[in-house]
Amino acid sequence: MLFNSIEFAFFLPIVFLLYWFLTPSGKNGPRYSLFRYWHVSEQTALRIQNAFVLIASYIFYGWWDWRFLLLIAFTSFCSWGSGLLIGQSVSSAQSVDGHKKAKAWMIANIILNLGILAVFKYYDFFVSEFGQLFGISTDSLLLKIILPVGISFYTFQALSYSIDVYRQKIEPTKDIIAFFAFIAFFPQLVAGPIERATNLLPQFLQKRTFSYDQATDGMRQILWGLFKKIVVADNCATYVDQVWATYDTQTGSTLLLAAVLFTFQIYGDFSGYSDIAIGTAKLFGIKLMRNFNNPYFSRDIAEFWRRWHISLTTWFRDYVYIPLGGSRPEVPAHIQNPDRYKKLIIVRNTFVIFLLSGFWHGANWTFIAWGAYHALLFLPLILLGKNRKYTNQVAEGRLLPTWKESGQMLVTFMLVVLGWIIFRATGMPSLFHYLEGMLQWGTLRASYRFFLPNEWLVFPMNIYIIIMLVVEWINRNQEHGLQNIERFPILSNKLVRYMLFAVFFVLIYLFRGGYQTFIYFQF
Amino acid sequence: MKRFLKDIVYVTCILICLIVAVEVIQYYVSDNNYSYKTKYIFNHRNSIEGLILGHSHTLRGIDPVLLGKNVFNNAESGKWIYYDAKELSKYVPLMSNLQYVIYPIGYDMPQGYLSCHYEYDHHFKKEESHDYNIHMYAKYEHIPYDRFPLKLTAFSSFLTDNLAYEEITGHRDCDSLGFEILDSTIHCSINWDTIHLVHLPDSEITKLPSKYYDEYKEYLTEMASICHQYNVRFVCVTTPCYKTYINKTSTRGIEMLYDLIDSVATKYPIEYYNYLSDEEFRADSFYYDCSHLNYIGAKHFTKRLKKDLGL
Repeated sequence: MLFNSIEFAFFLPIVFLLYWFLTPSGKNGPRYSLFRYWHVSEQTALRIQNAFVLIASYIFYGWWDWRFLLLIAFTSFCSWGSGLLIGQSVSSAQSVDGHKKAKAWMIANIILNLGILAVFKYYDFFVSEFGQLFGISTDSLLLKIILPVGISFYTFQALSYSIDVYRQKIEPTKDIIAFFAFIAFFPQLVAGPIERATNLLPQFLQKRTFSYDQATDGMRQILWGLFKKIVVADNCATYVDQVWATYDTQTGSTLLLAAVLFTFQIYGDFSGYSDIAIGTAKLFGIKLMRNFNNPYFSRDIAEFWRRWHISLTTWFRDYVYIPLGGSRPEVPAHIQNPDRYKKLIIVRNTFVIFLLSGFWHGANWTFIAWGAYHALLFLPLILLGKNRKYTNQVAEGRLLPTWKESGQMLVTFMLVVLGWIIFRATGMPSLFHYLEGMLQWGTLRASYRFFLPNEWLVFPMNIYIIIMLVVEWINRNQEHGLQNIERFPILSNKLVRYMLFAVFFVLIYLFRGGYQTFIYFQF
Repeated sequence: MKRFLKDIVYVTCILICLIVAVEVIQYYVSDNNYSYKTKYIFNHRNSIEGLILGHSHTLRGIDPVLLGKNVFNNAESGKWIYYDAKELSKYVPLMSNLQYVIYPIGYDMPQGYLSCHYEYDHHFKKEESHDYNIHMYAKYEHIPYDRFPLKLTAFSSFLTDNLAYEEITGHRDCDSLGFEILDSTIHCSINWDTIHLVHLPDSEITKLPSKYYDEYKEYLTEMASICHQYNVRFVCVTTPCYKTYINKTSTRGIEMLYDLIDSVATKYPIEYYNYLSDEEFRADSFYYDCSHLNYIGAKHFTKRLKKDLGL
């Protein structure tokens, strides 16, 4: 089920109402709660509510392909079981043996989860690449199975749990229903944010109460996410797909424009999805982590990576980069030139996380090249110790950025655009052809298409992008484009705000692009 | 919770009011292909001499300017013969000067020569654009589709397509004579190789239910009968297609097309011209994709058609 589908428009209100109908309460609880009239312990009521979340999440996922529910259930069960075993080993024996056991269980769970991911996502890639390398036909060895939607997301979520239990950051839970709901929670199941057990699981283990402010903020965030996805991303996609389908016959300006538009498409698509997911979770009294923080207003690549797909970036930072030594590796006593050693380790670690991050997106050399490209951009900053130069919002306390900031943002943006070309290419040959085509400037036909309607676009898409950028710029200190907008005097009146929201809905409906699925569903 | 639900109701009410307002405004104020063509035909009913009907093959394939002074292209993308028959019975009695009607035959036949289209996609209106057509014809031509499968799709199209952007802004693709130019410099690559089209062998075609073929025949007969009644030439043409498309056509399908024309021609006069495999239209530069002529091809084809029709 897609967030931008009619089915979801019916599914969400029904699940919302039933969820709060099942809210745990006593005699004096809210009138809409079933448990005000049916007296069970709060713990039982909470389990019933969590079971309902689980059923709803499985329906949501099963709408796409019910067979893969077994896979989620299996992953969830193994991670839950390994969590208990790790917990037992860590707590029962404060000895080396206990830790060894715990470590073994954690590694077993990691191997199992990554093994499943490898089979579904990477097996065919490695086999065919191996075949190509040695000139062997591997057709009969290929599995050719479809990739279960969201597998990369929920696998990483499951891994974070067992690692955090091992690190004793979280107590293992015995509540299997809460754990299954944590893995399968439908708003973020298929495309994140990749939640940490330390943040999300405790929320399933305690009673949620309905908050008007949280729910209205959630609705606004959903609205903003829908705008970014349906209006910005889907309209850009029309143009981008046409150009990529015929890139060998297009002029350089057309290709450049398509690359810029893909930059907005992927942002609108993915951050739009995240906004809808986070907003939906808020309706259920659950707070998910932020996934995007205005990445295109970054002043350097390091800042970009602190603002883009935050849940994945921090996952790699916490579970790969830091264990490898991060940017402050320990230097063994026998090393004669510690500075050089440190630098080498930093270079290695940076490449490891960027290449892994690229490979996480899919089994294709272009994703690895994209990771390597960003590693190369990131390295000078980290080696010079400038990777944390910009940790605040750009133009803080000012309406407009300075010329210097504008230039920095533009340069960063163009570097990111180049990266997205690598990312969008279907293979290395198409990437090189595309880049080659960009150098053959040719006519500016595509550029006027950007400003005028034509057979590919029903409206100049620059308007949608400008609206998105302006709203996000004005609200860049907030979590999303429509948060706390009542602070502006013109929007302090409730009726005016309602009008604005209704107008946004109409805009989404009128100016929607062609029906597109979410880009990150393929990962 | 109560306050939250109340707020949702308020916003929904405002939203409904806005949608109704926008719908009403666009219906009366703005033009799109459908409203424009309806109005044009009605306003020029006494001067139109030639009327082009059908779907995208004629919409993009016949330039009315090159056919004659008072020719209008009333074809529309994805249009099923049902609408052409209904439009014809509505307009021909009003058109005092109409000399001929051109209809593109074969492509949208459920079991036509192009077996890859056997799925009656024009009939069932499975795709979104077809759902959209249903609404447009009901809304601007007042021709409701009363067949069973459409009840459900009409509902879904109400939810998804009723307020499509084209309607609101008056987005019009066609020129003043109803012709829609496909840019000759851009060849759409998506449909070029016909990889998405399924080729059905003759043996499979004969197994297909005859219901939709019979229905197609019924509407074609209706069109021929109206033209005969008002002394108007009824010209059926099979438009040229690119070689990749022709490779997917079936011999049995083509035979069925000829049978159909023969059977209608026994009752009413029909002129038939087949350009499907015409050597004159083999050049790559004539095509937008495997089944649609681009502007260059349309010009060339229209001139040839004019000559063949003796206009």
